[in-house]
Amino acid sequence: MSHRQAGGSFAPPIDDAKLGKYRALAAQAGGPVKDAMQTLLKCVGKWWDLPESRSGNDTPHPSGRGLIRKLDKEFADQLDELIPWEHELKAMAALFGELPDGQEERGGEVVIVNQTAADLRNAAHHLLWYVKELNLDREPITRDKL
Amino acid sequence: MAYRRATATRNAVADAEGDLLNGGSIQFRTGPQPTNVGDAAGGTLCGTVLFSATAFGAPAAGVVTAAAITSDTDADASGTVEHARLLDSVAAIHSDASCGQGSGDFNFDNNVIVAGGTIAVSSLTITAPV
Repeated sequence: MSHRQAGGSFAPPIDDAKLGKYRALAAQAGGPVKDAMQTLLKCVGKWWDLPESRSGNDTPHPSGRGLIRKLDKEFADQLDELIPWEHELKAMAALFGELPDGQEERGGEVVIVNQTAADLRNAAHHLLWYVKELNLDREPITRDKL
Repeated sequence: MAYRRATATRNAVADAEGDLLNGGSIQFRTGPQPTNVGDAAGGTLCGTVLFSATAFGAPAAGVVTAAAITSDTDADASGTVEHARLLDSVAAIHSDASCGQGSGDFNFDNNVIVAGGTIAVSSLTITAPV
């Protein structure tokens, strides 16, 4: 393979119920996972309370799915202070990557054996996904927008 | 002078390599590529996209281009993807590749996968070396 291929990751959309659940999971987590998730929650929560950026000049995502909509400047400015630095996001990715997935392979199928662990890992990554989208100065491209 | 393949040879190489992926798939996984291509899969399987039954079109200038690659619309697990494994139709390893954000053979502008999300890739090309 000599050419770089473009990939796209489009998470499920968040909602008030999920945000509430993620806040509770973060509080229970403790340690650096709690700190990281609460940092991300501040950013995602702020974005959630803002109106959606106005359409116009949307561009196709390189993966061939979805459209990229840049954040309106007034919203980007409000979020900027809440978005961790790139090196902090990388550290969070590494930290969350260590979280158990709560899954086991049984009879050739993957089953969830620890729902709490699975929920925490999913919540952490979901928040990280959102902030990484916002770090790209765009409205997060969730799967319902495809 | 170095060894070089004629265009017809490169076309045959690319065509044969592409044919091996008919009905195959690409797994996106966390963690680095295994030391050797044939090593057991590592990391967490986040999701899988699928090649078409005829994975690639006819070769031209030593290049084959993939037909439509079916997205994974319900990702298996959450994680930050760092490598991909390309499998044939019976899930035997064909090749592997790196993934990254702004880097890698598969370049994701956001390489965090969330369980239940969608994973998509742009059209894939395989180029036989000269």
